[in-house]
Amino acid sequence: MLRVNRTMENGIVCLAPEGRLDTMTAPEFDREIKEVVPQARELTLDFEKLEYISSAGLRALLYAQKAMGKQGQMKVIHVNEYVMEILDVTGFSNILTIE
Amino acid sequence: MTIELKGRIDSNNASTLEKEIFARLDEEKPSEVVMDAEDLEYVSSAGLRIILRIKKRYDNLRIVNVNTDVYDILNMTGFTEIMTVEKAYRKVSIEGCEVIGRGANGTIYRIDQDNVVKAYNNADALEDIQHEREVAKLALILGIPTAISYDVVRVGESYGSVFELLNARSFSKILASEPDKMEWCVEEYVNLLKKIHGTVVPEGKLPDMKETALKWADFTKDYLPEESGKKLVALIEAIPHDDHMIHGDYHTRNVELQDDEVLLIDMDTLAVGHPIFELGSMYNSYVGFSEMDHTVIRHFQGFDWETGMRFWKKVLAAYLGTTNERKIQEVENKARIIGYTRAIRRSIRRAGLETEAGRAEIDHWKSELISLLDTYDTLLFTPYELELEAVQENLEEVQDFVDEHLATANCSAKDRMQIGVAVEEIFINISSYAYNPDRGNAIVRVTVSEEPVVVTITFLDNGVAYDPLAKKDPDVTMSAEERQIGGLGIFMTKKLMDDVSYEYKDGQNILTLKKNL
Amino acid sequence: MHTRVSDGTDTPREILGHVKEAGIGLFSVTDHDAIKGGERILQIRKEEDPCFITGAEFSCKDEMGKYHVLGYGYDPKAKDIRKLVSYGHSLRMKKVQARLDFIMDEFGFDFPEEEIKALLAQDNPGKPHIANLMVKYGYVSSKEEGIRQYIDQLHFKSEYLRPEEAIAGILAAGGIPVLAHPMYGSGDQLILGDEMDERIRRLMTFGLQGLECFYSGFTAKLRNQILAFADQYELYVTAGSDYHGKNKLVELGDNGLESADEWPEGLKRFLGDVHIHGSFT
Repeated sequence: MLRVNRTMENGIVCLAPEGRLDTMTAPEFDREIKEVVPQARELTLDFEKLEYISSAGLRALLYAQKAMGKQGQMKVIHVNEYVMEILDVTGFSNILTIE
Repeated sequence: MTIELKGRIDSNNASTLEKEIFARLDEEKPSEVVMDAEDLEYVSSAGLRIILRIKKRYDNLRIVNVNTDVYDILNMTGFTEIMTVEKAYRKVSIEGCEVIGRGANGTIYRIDQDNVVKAYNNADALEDIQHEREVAKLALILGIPTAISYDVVRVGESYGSVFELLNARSFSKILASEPDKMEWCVEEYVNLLKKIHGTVVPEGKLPDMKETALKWADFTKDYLPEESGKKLVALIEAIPHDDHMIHGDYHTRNVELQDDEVLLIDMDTLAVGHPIFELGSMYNSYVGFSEMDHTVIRHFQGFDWETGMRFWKKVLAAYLGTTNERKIQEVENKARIIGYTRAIRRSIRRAGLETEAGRAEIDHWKSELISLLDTYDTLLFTPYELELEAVQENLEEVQDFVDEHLATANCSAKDRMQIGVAVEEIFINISSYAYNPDRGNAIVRVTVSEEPVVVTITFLDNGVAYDPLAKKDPDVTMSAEERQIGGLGIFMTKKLMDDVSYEYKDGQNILTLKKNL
Repeated sequence: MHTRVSDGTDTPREILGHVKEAGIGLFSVTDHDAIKGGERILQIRKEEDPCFITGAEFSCKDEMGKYHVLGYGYDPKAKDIRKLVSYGHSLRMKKVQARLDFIMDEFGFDFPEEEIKALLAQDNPGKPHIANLMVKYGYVSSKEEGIRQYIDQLHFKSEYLRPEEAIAGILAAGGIPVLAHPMYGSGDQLILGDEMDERIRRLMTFGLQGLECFYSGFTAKLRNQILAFADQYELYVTAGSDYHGKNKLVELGDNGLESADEWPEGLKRFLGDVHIHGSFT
């Protein structure tokens, strides 16, 4: 249900989750984030292929934002309309850098 | 008085004809005027005005034997709305034609590759045909795929209605010849059934199935011990009025596959009522009528007893959205109560008591019915529900169940995702807190109403009383550092749904989501 | 309604009498291609009599079809309306003459001189009058046969008043041009839907201002369709019985108006704008 593609170059990490980020798949995404955060100067989350996100997914995002806020930058790119609405409703669009 | 109209009526002869007609009318002063248009080839608007003038004087004016061209003119100009216009009927022979369906009051024959005719049993079938056309039109307007007859014809001594049915095959035929299509048939058959049962019918448009069932019960009760008879009537009376559609004769010969489209035919039994009435007649089609003599179903459906039995069980499970044997058995037993009530009456009225085999069959149904009536105190069941253990691992099953309903409601991808999120948040909430540290079940019910299209999803659990809505909403304006993650799920649910409500009743937490589509 | 001046059976005086008897408050006479009947009514009408609107019904034709165009409220003294009538009348007379010549030459029918004279002396002779003669002198057994088998063998190309001419003449005489029984064309056709739409829009470019929406020969369905057009194009709405005395068995005043819950705006506007003789309220 969820695949996470990871690329890393010179401390710039890109994670591209593909599919659904829900209660069942969020732990996997969480794990990825916790793995890459210590090595990342910059974290890019590419949501082009993210179809669905629930509060479990938001939780992982909040964790990443908090962690990266302390040590570098994080941005979210290619957010589709549906996911964007979730981010708006929950105020997440204000605390994330969305491109 | 009958006035014969001949040839062409236009401005060249209209005024002469009018004078002739009125002279006759003035002389005979008939109480009723019928125009026989058998030999009428054409009528121009000059002729239409004559008809209108006669109609103004003789309000009961009828025009009969009207050919198609003239009928079209009368139809376009609104004459068919203001008076009775009867078409001339084409004659159709059904000799040697394949029987593709058999309904309560007629038999459906394929008359050529593209067309079928439903030949009615009774000679005075015009009213029945009219009724079936009207209900079929109604069903179509309400979104049920069906074939509308385009012509009424003469079949022997009675009438028939003609439908276009291109390359269509009934589900009976598919089941009989392609056993590997069983699962597909079950799925499509149940989808259509849910669509029918999810369709709200405007009041007064269709008969109430409950009234029909009460007639059956009233007849059958006299053949049962007094107590059982009373209970039977009481159980049917206790079924609340339901304005959702039921087909009334929903078996696989009345469901056709035309190209990729699944069509419902034989609409004359269309009614409104609780789905248990439908399940009762379905039970008879696949099981009830063949219980004593397993060869009966081959005659009705063209496939064997085992196939019918398997199909019925799978359909019931899929319809109820559960694999819980106990639940399926319970609904089947309730359906049997309706089914047997009807089967006993039908058999007795067809002189079933006069043969050995008939008596044996009726006795069998009676004893089953009596024991079922001892067991159940209601015929109600809740359709469209899924009962399963409230654990995270079942989330996907819940989502699929909800998605299935949304698919039939033409839900947009965006609404589907938002409903998906809300369903997840609530179900995960229940599985995390309701029974902790024990385990228990949750029930999910989905209904989709039409006009306005509203999806209602209800979650029930028997866990500790807890109102998730009472919790204060999180502050979504805080910065990332200050943000707490708790309460976000319920907050999103409130934002994404149009209505979220909670109540605790009879030891159950009941949380209801509504989304307007 | 029509008087004896065209194809009705009542004289103008009789019509006025019938209208009074029926308790009708406002009426018009719309003879085919003629205004004499209305002129006569204006002469004999007294102040307390029912109110009156001058009228006429012109048979028109062009490449696109046949029409009956009504003119209401014109000044009967205006030369434009008189020109129209005499043009229509002369075309009609020319055609009658041509038809008579045709059937006499082509089929060898013969009629006494005085019959022909009497026929041509009528105000508005047409095909039925010739056919009557054919029946009378035993050439055919019915009027219908005479028309279909013989008279209709002769076709005219453009010997008709064109709708734009009729509309222009009515307007110039201060009248309101209205399309008569629109769905029925010139009486025999059936014009519906897009075809009707196209016809109305074309006639509007010539100056058409109204549609006869209430008509004794319309069903509710037809009436509603044409009312919708009137509404859409903001045209006047009129009502006509097509009363012909004993020639068509239409009841006087039967124009379908009684079936309307409320008079449509277009009818109210028409009554406000058209010239009415008498004080109509």
